[in-house]
Amino acid sequence: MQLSRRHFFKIMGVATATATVAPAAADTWQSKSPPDPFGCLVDLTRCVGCRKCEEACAEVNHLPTPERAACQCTIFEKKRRPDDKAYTVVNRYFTGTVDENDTPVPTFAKVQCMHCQDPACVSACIVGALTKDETGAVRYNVDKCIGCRYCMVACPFEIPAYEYFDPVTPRVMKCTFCYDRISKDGGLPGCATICPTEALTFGKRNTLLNMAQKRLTQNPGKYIDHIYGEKEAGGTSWLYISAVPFETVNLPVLPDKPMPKLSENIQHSLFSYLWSPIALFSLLGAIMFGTHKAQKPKETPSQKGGRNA
Amino acid sequence: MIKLIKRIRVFVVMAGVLFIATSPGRAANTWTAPDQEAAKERAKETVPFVSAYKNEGHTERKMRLLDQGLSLSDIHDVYFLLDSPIIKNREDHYGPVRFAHKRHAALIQDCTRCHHYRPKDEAALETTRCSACHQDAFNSEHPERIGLKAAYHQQCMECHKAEAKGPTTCTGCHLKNVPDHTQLVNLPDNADPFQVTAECLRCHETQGKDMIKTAHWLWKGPSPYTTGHSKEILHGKAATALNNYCINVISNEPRCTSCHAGYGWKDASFDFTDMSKIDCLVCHDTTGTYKKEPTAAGMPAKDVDLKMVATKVGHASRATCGACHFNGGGGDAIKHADMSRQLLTPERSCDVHMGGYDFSCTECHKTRNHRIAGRSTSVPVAEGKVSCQDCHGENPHYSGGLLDHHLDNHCKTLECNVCHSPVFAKCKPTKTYWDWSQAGDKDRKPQMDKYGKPDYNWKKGFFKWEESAMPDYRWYSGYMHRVLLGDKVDINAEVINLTTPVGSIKDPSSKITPFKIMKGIQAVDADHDIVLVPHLFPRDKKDKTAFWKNRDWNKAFKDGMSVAGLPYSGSYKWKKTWMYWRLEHEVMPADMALSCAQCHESLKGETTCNRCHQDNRNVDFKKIAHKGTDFSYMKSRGRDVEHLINKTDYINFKALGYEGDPIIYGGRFKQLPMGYGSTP
Amino acid sequence: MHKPMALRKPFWTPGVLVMVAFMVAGAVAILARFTGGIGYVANLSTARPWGLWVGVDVATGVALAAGGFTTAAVAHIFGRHAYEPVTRPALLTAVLGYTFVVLGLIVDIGRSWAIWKPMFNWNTNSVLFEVAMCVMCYLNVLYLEFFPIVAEQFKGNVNLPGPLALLNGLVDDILHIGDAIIDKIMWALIILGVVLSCMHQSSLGSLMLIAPTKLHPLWYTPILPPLLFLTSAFAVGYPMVVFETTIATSSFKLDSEMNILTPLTRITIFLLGFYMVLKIGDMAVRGTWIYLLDGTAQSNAFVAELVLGVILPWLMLLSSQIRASRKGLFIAATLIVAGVVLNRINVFIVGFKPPLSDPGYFPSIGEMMVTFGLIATLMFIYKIAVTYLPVLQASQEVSR
Repeated sequence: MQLSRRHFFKIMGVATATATVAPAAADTWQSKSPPDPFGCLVDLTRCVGCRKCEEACAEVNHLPTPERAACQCTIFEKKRRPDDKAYTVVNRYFTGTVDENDTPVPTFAKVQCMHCQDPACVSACIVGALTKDETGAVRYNVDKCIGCRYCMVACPFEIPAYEYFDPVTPRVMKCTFCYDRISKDGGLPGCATICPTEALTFGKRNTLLNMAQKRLTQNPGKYIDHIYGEKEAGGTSWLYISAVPFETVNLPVLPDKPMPKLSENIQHSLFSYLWSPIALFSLLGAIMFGTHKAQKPKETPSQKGGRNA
Repeated sequence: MIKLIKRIRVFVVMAGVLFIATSPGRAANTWTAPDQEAAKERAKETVPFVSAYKNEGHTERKMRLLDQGLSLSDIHDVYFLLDSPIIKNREDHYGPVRFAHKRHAALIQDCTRCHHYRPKDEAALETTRCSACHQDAFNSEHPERIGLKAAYHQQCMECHKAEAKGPTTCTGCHLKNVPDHTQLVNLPDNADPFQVTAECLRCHETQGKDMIKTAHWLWKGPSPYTTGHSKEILHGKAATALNNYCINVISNEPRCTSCHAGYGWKDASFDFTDMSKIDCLVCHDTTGTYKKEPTAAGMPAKDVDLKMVATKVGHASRATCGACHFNGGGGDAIKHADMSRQLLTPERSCDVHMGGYDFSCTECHKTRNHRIAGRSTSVPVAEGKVSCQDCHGENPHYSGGLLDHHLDNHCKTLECNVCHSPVFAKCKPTKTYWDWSQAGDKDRKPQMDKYGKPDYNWKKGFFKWEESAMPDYRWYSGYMHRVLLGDKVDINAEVINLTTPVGSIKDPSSKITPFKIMKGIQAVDADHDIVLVPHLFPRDKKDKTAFWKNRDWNKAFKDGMSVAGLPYSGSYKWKKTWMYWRLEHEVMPADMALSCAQCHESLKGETTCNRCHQDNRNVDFKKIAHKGTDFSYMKSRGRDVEHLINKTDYINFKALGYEGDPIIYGGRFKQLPMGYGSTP
Repeated sequence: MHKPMALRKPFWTPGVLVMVAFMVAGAVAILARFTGGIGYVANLSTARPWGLWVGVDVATGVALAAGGFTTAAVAHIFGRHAYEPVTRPALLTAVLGYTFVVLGLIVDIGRSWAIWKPMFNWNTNSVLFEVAMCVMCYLNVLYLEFFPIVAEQFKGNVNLPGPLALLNGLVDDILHIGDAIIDKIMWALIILGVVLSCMHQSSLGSLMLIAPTKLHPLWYTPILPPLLFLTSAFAVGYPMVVFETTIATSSFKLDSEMNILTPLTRITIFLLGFYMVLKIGDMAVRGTWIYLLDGTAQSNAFVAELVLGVILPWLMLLSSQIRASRKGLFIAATLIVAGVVLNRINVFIVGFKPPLSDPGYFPSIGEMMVTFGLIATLMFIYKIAVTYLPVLQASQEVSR
């Protein structure tokens, strides 16, 4: 046993010092959301289900052309999700509203990466391949990715998809918020560009929140009085307003708390400055030191460890 | 209010002075449709951006505008092409929308429904254009203001949905732009027609499956408008349709099927379930270079560059539809009196839709799953009907003029074409008489008629032609009585009507309708009383029966009837046959429709509208009643209409079952004559 | 006084041949995975990015390798030298277990060749990052801890085959020097091993903290997840040792070592009891007991995990009679091991229910082939190791 007394106290000292400082520092969790991000407001009352956004998305992101059912109506028969070949899809929901002829009124809802303000995927990503950009875009850097798919586990919107059929260089596939376009002056995401009814409105998130609020107050009764994404999961860059409850169009009910807050809090309070491992190391060292000292008369601890670990 | 009405008019819509003239020498690329051109120019205009607007309640705004006296007659821009560059600056997948501005105004009767706000600037126009406020989307200075495209879509679709009227699907309003197929089509340089079709089907298999179910492919199908056969689906050119032109396809396929949208229909063995034989290019050619060999059962001409045509496919056009439909009966304008190659580049006055607004056929003949709507009178098969009312509505006269009420009332009794297509074969002579009995004389020299058309052809017999002719008017309910192949006819009748419009003055749904009557002489089996099908076109060099080779009617009928599976007694009789051909195209611009006085002699004299109305207002009744088709001007442009000038009995009321001019004698359901001083 | 030594017994037994069959099947599946992609062999989807490989190969593998650090802690740190005979097999299990965790990860992650990247791209917010770093470090620590065992066997008699014989001297030197160095720092390695284990065993439980809407409330606890996983790892350590020692000693016909195992499981009463209290307490505090009897697969799996995997064996262990009986102890240990295995499977597979787009998940044949293939390989190498290295207690054979 080579642990000297001097050494031991040194380690203990450091451990105690970090132990007292670290937890306090870690508890003050700070949102890392950008100050003035872009956003996109989806007004479900305006969406007509033309699926042009899907087409535009595929075009600007060089994805396969979306399936064109012979008739728009057949494609909506199954509920689709974004996948590795489509960053966004539009689904049709019948929520029980009927028109004056008792015909069910459809609500169409586009779904894509919400670009959370404090994204779970970014927090989860083991290598930091996912980042939240100043523009609001949650960006993916394939050069860092190892393919652990923890982002997919973490995402509360179940968005990131994976190229499961690529054996060597699969990528996580999700809406890029057309970062390359929106980061340029006046640039727009592909889907918003093409939307014929401006069911998608692109702009600064704060502007859009004001605008959405205005639409809610100026059309009482038309909308559910809630801007989805304002607070959900700590806020998202994509915002939705709708005439039907959001859960009926498969938007999940989520807490307002940012997804990463809890896990980051726990991780940081446990491990910031590695205080806890160092403390534990010191503690176990002390115990070991103690037990071996007591047993020393009987045999040499160094032989013990070496031979029988 | 003066400010309100005052508009800067940049473009004057065609006044319609240029009257009918044939223009054989005009090259197609210099042709323009004037109304459409004007609308295109108008669409390009930009108007100053309105940044501040007045927030005003909808109802108070509406009342204010009405109080200012704004009415339909203030509308200058009857028609808009929604084709602003603003719409197209991000993507351009669909063609522009035709927006009938005035018609919408007339229907809605409330300008504020669309013109919802006014600019704050008092000097600006109240009902300024959409694009004054709605321009590029996502304007960060006016985030609440939607872009022009979204404004159109929201405004149109929301209203169409709310009113359950008008289209709400993409292709309901737009024509989808066909993508450039240069990179998509993968063909060898010397591709044969079947390779082309296979290549088309590679992506468009659904369309292929659709196509082989259509009347354009099968040449037969449902015959809902043929009395006695309305539930059947087997009639058509390929089966039972007869006419007094070339009579019937059976036994003459290689010649006739050069108009079939397929390859190789030589005889009855043709496989109609085989998609690989579809001729896609004949309808989707945009180059104008695709041609079919006239006698090769639908195969294309050898010199056509099929690969080039295939890489430039597009929507069907007047040229592609016309390739067959303008040439019915063996040549331009021969069969369909109201359709000719003239319609490829028509003048506005020839046909206002095609000449003024550059309509393609399919804009009216809406196509779903390759089934093309349209109700023909000449063949039984129909896959949907098209009528003027589909677009113009039941009350189409909304000029804001004094006559609107009366004109709309006429719509209950007259088909639109009665007034709006007063003559047929306006510019190109059409065959109106065909005597097969004289055929076969190879030595007979054809004489040229006044239009320069031959009166004889040894293969076909003796003809008569007519140009700018007056139609015959009949009551028509939309149904035809029809002699189909194998039907017994009355062999002793003076005239056998192969088709007859079904209608009656007593039937509220019947309307007076213009027809071209095709008169002919053709053979009927003297014993079996059925119309005979001759074998005309020789199958090959050894053919011993074809009339156009051997000139023996007996052999020709024997062969033709045996292929048709019908008996032939060996003796035939030449009979007069008539066919009624409904006239629908060649619609004149509105201001060239027939005038009141051209039909109603009672309005010709000094007493006109004042027969019923007091004329103490400053209105020139006479002028109103007399304004209309100017036949003397037509004559001056070389048309054969001298006999129509000053005609006041354009419609023979007595022949139609009226006692006389309905103004004097009362209408078909209104028994009382009109107005004071109306002693006949 | 124990004396571990190589078994020197016949290697090719029928059991080994069965393992080889599984290994071949696993190799085929792995080949398929690296030619056709993960999707070609696995039933994974957007909603279910983690399946059998993460749930069993990784999470369960880590948990079951807990025997290594728990025995090391008790024997070396707390100085209970009586338990030393089981430290070597436990260490071997840990070495193999963690090696196969990494092999499993290589199969599971999409870009296997990029597995080194977390070393240079740090995201300290990521729980997985911490797990990965700990596993990586711990694996190295384990190898270093295992080095002396190799050295002990071959030091002085390195005899490489063929031309490699030229290196005999060099290898021998390395063994000598390495052994000497490691001997000096062994105390630190042992403590470090325990610390790293505590860190990532607990953090594995924090992995799902970020997905509160996806994990069934019976398992999703915002209060205790690191602690539950850590205590369950503590609890399963000795039962795992019991489990494998019993199997090893009975299949190699060795001394049952009940004299060590019975006292070892007395510690487990406390550890498992603590885990049980936490688990039940967590359920009570969060009121999730309302789900217990709703009959869903999740509830049933939780009940099975808690009753059969925790409460029942805990009660069994209370009985000194059972603890003294080889069979009874083995059954109790097996139940605890199964309980923890089920817990990991529950957290990562059964209880993971993405609310929006879950297509359901059941491992494909291919996934199972890989997992069983890896387990078979692990057992195969274990057998090689105990056959040729001084791992097991080589006391006199049991005369039955």
